[in-house]
Amino acid sequence: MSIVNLPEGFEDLQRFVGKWSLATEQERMQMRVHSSMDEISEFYNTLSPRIEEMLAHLEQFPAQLEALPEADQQLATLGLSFMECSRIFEMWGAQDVHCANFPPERLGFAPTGSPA
Amino acid sequence: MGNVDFATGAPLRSGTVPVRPYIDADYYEAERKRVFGRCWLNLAREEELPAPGDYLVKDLEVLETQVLLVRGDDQQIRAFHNVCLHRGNRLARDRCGNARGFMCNFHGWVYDTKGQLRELPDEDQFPHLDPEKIALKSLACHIWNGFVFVNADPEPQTSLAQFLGEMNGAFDGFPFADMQLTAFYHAEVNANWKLVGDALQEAYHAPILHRQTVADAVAGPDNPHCHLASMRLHGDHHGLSVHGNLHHQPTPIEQIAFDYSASPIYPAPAAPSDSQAPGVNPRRESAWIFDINVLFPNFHLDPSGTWYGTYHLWPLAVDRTRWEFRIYMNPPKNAGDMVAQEYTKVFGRFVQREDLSTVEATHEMLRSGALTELHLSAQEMPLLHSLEVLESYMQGRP
Repeated sequence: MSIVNLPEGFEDLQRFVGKWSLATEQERMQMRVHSSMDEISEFYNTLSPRIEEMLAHLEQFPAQLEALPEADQQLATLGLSFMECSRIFEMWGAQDVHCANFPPERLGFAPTGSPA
Repeated sequence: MGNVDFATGAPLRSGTVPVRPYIDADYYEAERKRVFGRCWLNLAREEELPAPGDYLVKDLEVLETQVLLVRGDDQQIRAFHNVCLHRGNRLARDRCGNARGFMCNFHGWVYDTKGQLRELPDEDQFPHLDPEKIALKSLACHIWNGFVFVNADPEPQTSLAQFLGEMNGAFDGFPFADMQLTAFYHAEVNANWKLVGDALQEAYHAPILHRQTVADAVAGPDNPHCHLASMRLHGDHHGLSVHGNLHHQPTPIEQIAFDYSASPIYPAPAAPSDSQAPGVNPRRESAWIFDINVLFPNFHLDPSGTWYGTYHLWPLAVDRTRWEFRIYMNPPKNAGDMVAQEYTKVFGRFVQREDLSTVEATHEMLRSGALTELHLSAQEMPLLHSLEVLESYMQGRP
């Protein structure tokens, strides 16, 4: 998807769209593990005070990414990337769990949705 | 908490188990026939085959076959070995789809969705055959709470209901069909299938192995070693309720994810209710997060209040396993809820990788032969029980 402007009120997050507005969970995971700690920290620190506004804004839309207007879709995938990065960063200031024996690339991702 | 088997009142047992079943190739060969060839195995959810003609092809490497699951015009789901009766070619070639029937691409034999032969090209040249009497080789197939089970034994020793025993009614009322598949992860793991399953059926490891992730949500000062809230043995199967730390302090984003989810998500403590299925947190412990139910031999059904997870441990060889993990949750009500649910998926992935991070090294070290037995605490009794059940099948119990 080409980059469009985020919905009104979220202009300050526009600079993250190119890197973090990724459509699939696997792409978002790869971006997390291949980003520098500086990049993750800037992403986390900028979005954490805004994530509630983002979620509240997204509540007006159905739960299918494809059904969202392009701008809101980009906001949603930005939110999904934030969820991808936030847990391990805010607990441990890290980008991944200590799992040298089982790197993230070894996980296969299968299609989901309803019906199962 | 948790010092007795809640099903019988008997004290929990600690003990030792032998290493051989985990590493011995002959043992594995016997397991394939005596355990996987005789037990009921879960292959799918019935929602995966909603309409007549819907089909799925499932690899069953442990039995060196491939199973074709198909819903017939009569709505019944049937299971067949995916093989044409003529010369043994693989029949369905796609992994899933919808079909009025299946045509072998070798000579064009056609079967309907009930497995009956419908077209036999150049029939006159098969005077010894009565096409009406020809049907695909079936496997016994039954559904329980929407889970599709098959049994490869040509004459199953038990019905699915008998096999499940006391587990049968334990989940009555659990809204399995209302939940949707939210995440499905899989991996090929270089370890025996039982080592993978064992890592997923005790909580003793949580404070250490999961110190970066779920430790605080399940252990905490009231229960530093994460003793189970309850445990119950049910015939070949067992259930465990995992303690939840009521003093768990969510991180800021964890709290936001909980707040914006329409229904509680992992790792939030779950609230037990009287309307809950009888076998889910049967003691209605308030400090509870989710249950682990091991349906022998290789299917784990792990319900919480408003989500459930499943594991399938599919043996590929004595030292290789296909691990499959699925999370089912209430369908998100809106896009905000959907983003909040992502938190559970990411968190779940971390916990899974932690669990998988020890089993390969364990298998390697067990293979060294340095150890002949392993020591299990009373809290690890489910592992002991699984091996006892396994051994009873290996001894050829009727």
